[in-house]
Amino acid sequence: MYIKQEKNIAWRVIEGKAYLVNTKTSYLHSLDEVGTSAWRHISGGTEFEKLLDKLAGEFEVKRTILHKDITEFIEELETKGLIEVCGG
Amino acid sequence: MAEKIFDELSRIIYKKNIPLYTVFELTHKCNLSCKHCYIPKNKIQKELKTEQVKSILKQLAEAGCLHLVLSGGEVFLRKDIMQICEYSRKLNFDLRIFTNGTLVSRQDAQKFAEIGISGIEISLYGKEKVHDKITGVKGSFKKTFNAIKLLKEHGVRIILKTPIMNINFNEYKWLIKFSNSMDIEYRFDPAIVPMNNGNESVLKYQLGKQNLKKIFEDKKITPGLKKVSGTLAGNQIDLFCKAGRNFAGIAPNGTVYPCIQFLYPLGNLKDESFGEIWYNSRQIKYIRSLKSYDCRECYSCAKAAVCRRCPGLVLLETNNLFGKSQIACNLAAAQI
Repeated sequence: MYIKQEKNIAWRVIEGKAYLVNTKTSYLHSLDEVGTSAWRHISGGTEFEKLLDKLAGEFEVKRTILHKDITEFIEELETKGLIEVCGG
Repeated sequence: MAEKIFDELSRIIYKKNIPLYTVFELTHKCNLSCKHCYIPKNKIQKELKTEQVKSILKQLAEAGCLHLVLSGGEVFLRKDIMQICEYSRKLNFDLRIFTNGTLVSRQDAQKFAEIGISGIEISLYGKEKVHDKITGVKGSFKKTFNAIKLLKEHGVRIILKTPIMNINFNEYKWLIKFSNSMDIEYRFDPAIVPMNNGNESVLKYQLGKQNLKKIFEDKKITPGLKKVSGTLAGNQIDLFCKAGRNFAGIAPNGTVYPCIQFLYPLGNLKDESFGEIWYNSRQIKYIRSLKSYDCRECYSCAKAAVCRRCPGLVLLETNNLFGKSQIACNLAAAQI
């Protein structure tokens, strides 16, 4: 599964938190620390498995534990129109 | 939820003086000669080169700027405008363009759709005859209208911007109808400002008291212009706005201002970095030290709660940061 930032998103990390704007709707979103780190990887495009590897390394959490949270996070971002997910 | 996030972000950027909003004027050259324009035609600044612009954009992104407006003059007179727009989006700015639209091509419209721009704000003053009379260029309405159609076709968000003056007052109802028929947003502004060199000759186009009142009372004119209501306690009145804290302005020659309308030079990006100017310059420290109660006359004014006092406008009108803006006074009086 390949994940990338939706083209109409503007964003900036301010004081450790990512703030995202959907430029079509001007709707503002924010992410927590883990979400912000994930977003930095997603913004340039990444495979889901690689994202898990990177986050597991950064936060010293077992991959299996992270899997459920990140899956939900990705679903949430997709629902909000912030990312594009290609392949299953 | 978004409101809560906005409040949280607003608190952070205010505390840290992050320039979340920046207007970058890329050129003062223009192919139109609008009667009310605030840019003096006889003193065109030397512009920054493409690489200098890109370097500044990078510095702005690093400083936390998210909302970026590229403005002019007419930005499409710069051959590198699309390159600058693409680079801005690569840096993840929420990008808006201010333009008269006359030079926008089909390829430009397509590119804007591709890169995911937040909006194009186009100046339109009324029907063809009135519009062309104000711009001083016959055929400008047709070209602007063509740009609106092209951008619309490509799904690019358009916001029509109209200063309401005594020379186009009768056009505003048509403009609302036109915007609604095209399903595009519109914004009106009754504030005409002196030219950047302090020349006040353009103020003759300001609306008179009666028409100003009509404008504020016309509900159809919202969301373009809202009548301010309610009262504020004295300690909540902010007579210096967020210019120099969360708003920054950059002129075509690289001069940084607290806001593009607040012409108090902070430094030049050809000599210093944005960070040095924004966080360490003597000038910015002074601007941030100013308090609303320093403006004695305005602070105790009964109209303060509805006043749109702009420190930049005050400076242009009176050459005194603590002075009273007659333009803001007139607008406030029309709302009471």
